[in-house]
Amino acid sequence: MHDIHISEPAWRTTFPHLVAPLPNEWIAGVLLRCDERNFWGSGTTLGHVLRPGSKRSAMNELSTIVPTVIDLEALAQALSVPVSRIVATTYLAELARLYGSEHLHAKLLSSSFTFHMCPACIVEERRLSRLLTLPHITHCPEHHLSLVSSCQCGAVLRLFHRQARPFTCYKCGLDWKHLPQRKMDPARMETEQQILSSYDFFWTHGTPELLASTLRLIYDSVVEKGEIRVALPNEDAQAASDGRSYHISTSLGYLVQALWQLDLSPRDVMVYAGPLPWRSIKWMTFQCSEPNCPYVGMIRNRTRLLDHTEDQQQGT
Amino acid sequence: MMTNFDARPPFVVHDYFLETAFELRFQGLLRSAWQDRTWHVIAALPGSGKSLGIADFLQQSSSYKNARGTTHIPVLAIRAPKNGGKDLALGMAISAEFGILPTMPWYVRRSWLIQAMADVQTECIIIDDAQDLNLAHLAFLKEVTDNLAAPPHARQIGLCLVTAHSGKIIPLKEIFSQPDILWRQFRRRLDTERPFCVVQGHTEEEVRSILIAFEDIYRSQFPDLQLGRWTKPIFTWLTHATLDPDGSKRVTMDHLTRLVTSALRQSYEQGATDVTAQALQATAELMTLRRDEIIAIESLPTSLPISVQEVS
Repeated sequence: MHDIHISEPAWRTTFPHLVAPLPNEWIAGVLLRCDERNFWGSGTTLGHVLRPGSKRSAMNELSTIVPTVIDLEALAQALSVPVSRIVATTYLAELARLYGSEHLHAKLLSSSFTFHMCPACIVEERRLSRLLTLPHITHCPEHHLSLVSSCQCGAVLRLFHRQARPFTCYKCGLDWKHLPQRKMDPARMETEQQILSSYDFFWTHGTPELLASTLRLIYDSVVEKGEIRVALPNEDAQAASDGRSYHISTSLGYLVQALWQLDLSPRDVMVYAGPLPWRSIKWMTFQCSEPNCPYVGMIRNRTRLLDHTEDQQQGT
Repeated sequence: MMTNFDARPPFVVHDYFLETAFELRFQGLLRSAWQDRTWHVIAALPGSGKSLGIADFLQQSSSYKNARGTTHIPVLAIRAPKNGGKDLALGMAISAEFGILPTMPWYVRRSWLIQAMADVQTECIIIDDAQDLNLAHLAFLKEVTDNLAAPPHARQIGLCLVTAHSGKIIPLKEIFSQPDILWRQFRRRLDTERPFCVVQGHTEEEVRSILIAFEDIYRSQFPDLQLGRWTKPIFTWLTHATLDPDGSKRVTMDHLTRLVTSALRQSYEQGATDVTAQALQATAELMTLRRDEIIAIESLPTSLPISVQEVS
């Protein structure tokens, strides 16, 4: 983005100090950095871009994950960045593609929200990563630290609080960067890496069809194992607080957790969604004595496709 | 020389900012206040080009905002709030110069303003139409500049209160001469050598330079334009008692521009490629002798060039 000169119309439609979203930054972090850079109290920027009728407190709850209460266009204009860069600080585009709907709700990702952050990210760049909003993630993949959800004084961290400075405890005023940095348990970290790769898979390849197929896969796996280890998908229609009905159709957080619990990987999901009849045995170990077995041929094709996809992901 | 005027496009007025002698004097004073962080009351006749000069000066001040969060506003220029109002009105006017601001209580904005001005490295404040400032505004200005001058900011600020004046009276001069503590403090902060300045309009020679600049500006529409040769009569007309009631024998840019563009427009519509003394004189008479004449509007406007169609 070029500098804005005082003679340009954009001067009058932008905040005094601009902040640009960092790669993979979460919108709440952008709002707080904007507050801090402009010497405003925590939540001041949020108050400016809240949609009419929305409550500021919503951004300390589930709505933070899918910020439907924020006027993203207004925020983009005030920061002089393309709307797409603001959208990229949320999971709105990914969820819309995954669920095939423009009417998004935070419950499509998670049924609850706890704010936690990585003190090392705050020290380095005052950065809140978008990954921190994902259910079942309790460590920072970059710093390998446990995420912190409460202050040393005992107060639960709140993203936005009228009486607080940005990135500080609303009770004792301690800067979040001073919160203790605790190493994450390696075993738990490994588990969360698997969960993160599942999220990544759905963000990259997710479609309503793939979602439905994943649900069937989970159901079949549960039946096949003969034990119920996860609750069955709940497909009841529910009503959102704004009165609009939405289909809960199982949150992504639930799906990802279920896949992990059932020891299913994105590869399994891809194969299950493919043309092969799904088998209870792991598809990668499927063997056949027939030299021209069509199943083996198709499996090889799918393997190549998956390897290619992973290569692409690593490349990006 | 006349041309086939049916074939000519409509007359176009070019309202470029000209760096006239007045602007050089006026902007020189602003620049000096900015560089030396001095305080002045700067007066000039209405229509001299003060506001345009401030706008141009602001453009040259290299204020910018960048995406890395750095904003630089060395010169803050505002127009004094109208209809009185309290310090809030002036505070809102100053803070609006930063861009859009979320709603916040006045006590918060008040302290924010000090911090923001220090952060963007403000070095000079220019207030246009400063004759409209009241006691509350001036007290607030003093508070802001004093806070910036004090630790931790330790930032001296230049201040230019730009006013329109007439006759020998310079607005604010009498106010600052009053014995109240506030005014004495204000008076003490004014520059020692040039506390109250009157920037003069254009002399005859300066008018000639401007007319020659107009020749170049309108050359594409008037290939034979020679305005410079009418300098003397134009100067005489524009220093007529009606337009120069104080007898300053100086010409304001507003009067000069009005005379020239009006005469040029009429000449252009008649197909001329130069302007005659008669055309200039007729316009000058309209501006002086006939300025209060009431014009009866009886005829219908000329038909629109586009066809009007009924839509269902």
